[in-house]
Formats: sequence, C-alpha cells, structure tokens
Amino acid sequence: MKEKHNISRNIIIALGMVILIAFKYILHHKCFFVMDDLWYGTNLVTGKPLQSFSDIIQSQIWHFFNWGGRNITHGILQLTLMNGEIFANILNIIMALVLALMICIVSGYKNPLAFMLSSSLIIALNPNIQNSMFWQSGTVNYVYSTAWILLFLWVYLRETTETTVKKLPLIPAWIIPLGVITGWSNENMGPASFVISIAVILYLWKFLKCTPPVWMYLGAVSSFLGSALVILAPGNFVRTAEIPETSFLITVSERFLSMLRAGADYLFPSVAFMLVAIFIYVTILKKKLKPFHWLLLAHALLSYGAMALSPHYPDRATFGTMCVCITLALSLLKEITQQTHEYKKYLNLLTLSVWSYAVYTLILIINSL
Amino acid sequence: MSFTKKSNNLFLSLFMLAISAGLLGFAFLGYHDAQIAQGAGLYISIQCNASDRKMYDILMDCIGILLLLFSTLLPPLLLKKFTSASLLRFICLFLAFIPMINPGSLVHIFSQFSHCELRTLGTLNSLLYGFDAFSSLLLLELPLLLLLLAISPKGKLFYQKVLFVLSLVSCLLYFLFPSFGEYTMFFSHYFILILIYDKTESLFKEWSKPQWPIFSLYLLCALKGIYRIILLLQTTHI
Repeated sequence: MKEKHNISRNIIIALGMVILIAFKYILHHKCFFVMDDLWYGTNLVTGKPLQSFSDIIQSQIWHFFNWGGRNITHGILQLTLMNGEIFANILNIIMALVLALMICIVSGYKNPLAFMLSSSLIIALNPNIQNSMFWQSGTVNYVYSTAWILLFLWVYLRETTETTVKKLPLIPAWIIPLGVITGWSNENMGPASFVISIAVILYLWKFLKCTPPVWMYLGAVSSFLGSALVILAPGNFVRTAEIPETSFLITVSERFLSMLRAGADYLFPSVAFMLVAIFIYVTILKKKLKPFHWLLLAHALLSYGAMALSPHYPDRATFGTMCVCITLALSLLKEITQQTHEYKKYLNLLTLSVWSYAVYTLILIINSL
Repeated sequence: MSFTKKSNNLFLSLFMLAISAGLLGFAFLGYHDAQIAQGAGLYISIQCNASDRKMYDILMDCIGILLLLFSTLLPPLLLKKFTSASLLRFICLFLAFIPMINPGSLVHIFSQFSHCELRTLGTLNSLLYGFDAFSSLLLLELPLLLLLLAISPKGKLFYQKVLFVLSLVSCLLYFLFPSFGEYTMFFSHYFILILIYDKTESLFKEWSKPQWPIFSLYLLCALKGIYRIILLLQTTHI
C-alpha cells in the first residue's frame, strides 16, 4: 500500500517537473539574445562575430584589462552565444536542473519531492526571474556559477559532519580548478566561498581536533586566487573610474538604501522562508543548529554583506544568496519532516503551493512577451 | 528581557509601544504623502466647490489614520492578544505583507462598488490577472501557514476556518470583479495574515526560547515595511 502511494506520488512529481521544464523551455525560446548578449556575441577586440575558441580567449584577455574580472562566466557566456539560441536554451535548462540538484545534494535532502521543491523555489523566490534565469548573460553569471559554487561548498561542508565521509576520488586534482572558478565567479559569492573554506579548515583543526587534508588548503588557496582575480582585475578599475564621484555622505546613503532594498525586498521571500524553517527547528523542536547550518548562514550573510562595497546591487545579484538560503531551509526541512508524519503531509502541500506559483509566474512572463 | 513572553518589564513594554507608534507614524507619513500627491483631498474640495483644499486634506488624513489604526489594532484586541510585544509583531507583519490601497481610490469607493462588472475572460491575460490575488498568497503566506499548521496545536477553531474562507472569498471576488481589485486584494491578504498571526501567537505561548529566529523574522518584516514606505515616499513626496 505504501509502495503504491510512493509510486503515484513520484508520478505526480515527475509530471509536475515535466510541466515546469516545458514552461521554462518555452520562456527560454521566447527570450532571445538581448542587450549585453549581442556585444558578448562578438570578439570584443575586433567587433566581429565569434568564430572560434581563440576569439573567446582574445576577448577575455581584453575584458580582464578593460572591462571587468568575470572572465570565467563571460567566457562561458561567449561559448554559449557562439553556438546559437537552441544550444543555449537546452544548456540553460540542464544547468537549472543541475543547480536544483546541487541544492538538494548540499542540503542533504535528496528525494524527488525535494528536487521539485528546490526547482520551484528557485523561480518562486526569485526577485528577477527574467534577468537571472532567462537572459543569457544573467543565466550564465548566476545559474551556472551558483551550481559550481554549491559544488565547492558541498565538498567542504560535508567534512563538518562528525561521521566519517567517503573520500571523493582524485579530489586534490580537481579541487584546484574548482576553487579557481568558484573564486573567479562573481565578486560576492566567490570571496564568501573562500571564507567558508577557511572556516571549515579552522573548524576541523580547532573543534574536531583533526588535521585537515591537503586538498582543503589547495581549494582555499585556489579560491582565494580566483577571488583576487575577479576583484583586482584592472578592468574593474577602468569601469569604476567612469562612475562620477559623489560625496561620502551621498555614497553612504545610497549604499544603505541599496542594501536595505536588497535585504528587505529582493531577498525578503527567501530569508523569511529560511527564518521560519530555523524557527521551527531551533525554537519548536529544540534542536541546535549544526556547524554545517551555521556555515551556510554565514555564507549567505557574507555574500549579502560583501555587496556593501559595490556601487550597484541589482536584484539579479541576490540570486546566489537566495540559493544558499534555499539550501539551508531545505536542509532544516529534511530534519523537520523526519520528526512526524504530519510535517510530510504539509510539506507536500507546501511544495504544491510553491510549484503552482512558479508555474503561474512563468506563464505570466510568457504571456507578456 | 523577552520579545515573545508577556513582559513584566514596564520599560520594555513602553519601548515596544514606542516602536509600534513609530512604525504606524511612518506608515501614516507614507499615506499622507500619497494622499496629497494623488489629490484625494483636492478632488473632494473641488466636488464641494471649496476654495481651499486644506480642510479636505485633513479629512482624508483623518480617514487614513482611522483605517490604519482600525486595521492594526483590531485583530490583537479581538484575539485577546493586546500586549505591547504582540501588537508590535502584528504591525511588523501588517507592514510587510499587506498590499497598499491607494488613497485616491478611497474617494471613489462608492462608485467602484456600484459599478461592478464581471471580469471578461476572453483572453489568457484577463484569466491570469484574475488569479493574481490567489497566486500572491501562494508565494509566502500559504506556505508559512502550512508550516505553522504542521506544528500548531491540534484542533482548528471555527473562527480560523472562517478567516481562511473569507480570504478565499476575497480572492474569488478579485477574480470576478476587477473594479474591486484593491480592496479584495487587501482583504485576501488581511484575513490570512490574521490567521498567521493567531497561529504564531499561540505558538509563542508554548515555545518562546531561543528568541533570535523570531526576533530576526519580525525585524526583517519591519525592515520590509519601512522599505516599502521609503519607496512610496520617494515617488510621492512633494
């Protein structure tokens, strides 16, 4: 009887995911390459359409010295643009699913319902779906990068559980490029990930009284290098020189307003969702947050706080922080639902509610285009 | 010191009341600026052939204050949860979640209700916008309510079911009659919010420590409300 119930539930979840993916694809199909995509679709040095990988390398070298430090994401962007709309649409769908999967893996909540919930939450709690998930430049900068950032975080955070975890194969080899691209992704998530890697090393050393493995140091150093590259790229200074100078008071008031807008408006749904999960876990169930939870919370705070140094904090830039909040909420919901059967029933309804909102939002945007 | 337990500390109670008054005052400031910018008082003064709009602006401001006080003080009073902390919590939720009603639409309230026409459902657009009130609940209020229902004490009281039904009826009215839009949107959120408030307050009676998640959540709601009012002031302040 239970097995029959599980099979029918999984069929409903599969159907829900098919509907969600279908609407995502339709929206991707309707969103053409626009704005920055058109510029990045060319060799930034010669102005001619991209023809080969060498055009991308040449463009990114110029980009590093003249426009900004996000070479990894913009290099991948140029790769997707070079291969056309259909290729980009399919890859974007795959990466969105990978991102939802990474949220499930990092949170430890690995089942079909959690996957549907995370896929829906990424859309439902998103302050600007179009610019962060359906505009090609935004998709690569935020969806793609958050997927590998979560992979980097997972590799470290899994070591903070007190039970011994299985060693990942050949990790000393691939942690270095992963660390570099994590740090080199964007200006808030990259450095925040580096800080978390250091925090994990210190935690293992000071609290678990064990020697952190060599690969941890390699990952931390490589993410630091990546972060340094993304922040200290000469192109960043060329761009900031173009921004008119304002007085200290105006700068402080503008930064205060942009941080208030980001925290209280753009991130409100995801942070509220996360705080309710924390309230249930900590206050109702009287459980203590684990180091893993604290580290995710710290990452969300750091990635948010780092933007105080930026002159602009657009809504799409909260995407990574939002995903970290969702990850933390899901990891708590996993443990909450293990308490009683009642929670599982309400979680099914909650998933349905969020999924409905996500589908409604996608239909609304498709209809408006 | 406790944000959740009934406070015996007079100073803390007064402090919370002062914050509540401050938040309501700030909300009223936003209303006042919107009212002046939209010319609600001016419209009435023209209808009454008056030469000076000031008295009518004051009239609209008084209506605004009364509506604001009524909608924020009544639920804690009726639910017998009228403490300084409880009131502050409701005000934070109210400012964060409740959709705003344009002061300008208040002057046309009677004509809006007398000229009610059914929504024409010929296009996908009209169908989608008809679901706006219900869908806006699907994002946060309903998920929060579902989580609270999972953990709250068993037995749903009659008035709680009534509140839920009233919210759904408001959504239905929003779907059927677009001219009632602002009011039905307001009430659909308002009834659900009272339900959420009732559930959370009964939870705090049983579980109140540690306080930091609750405090953070309400602080976030207060900041959201403050930001919404700042946004309104940026566009309407003359």
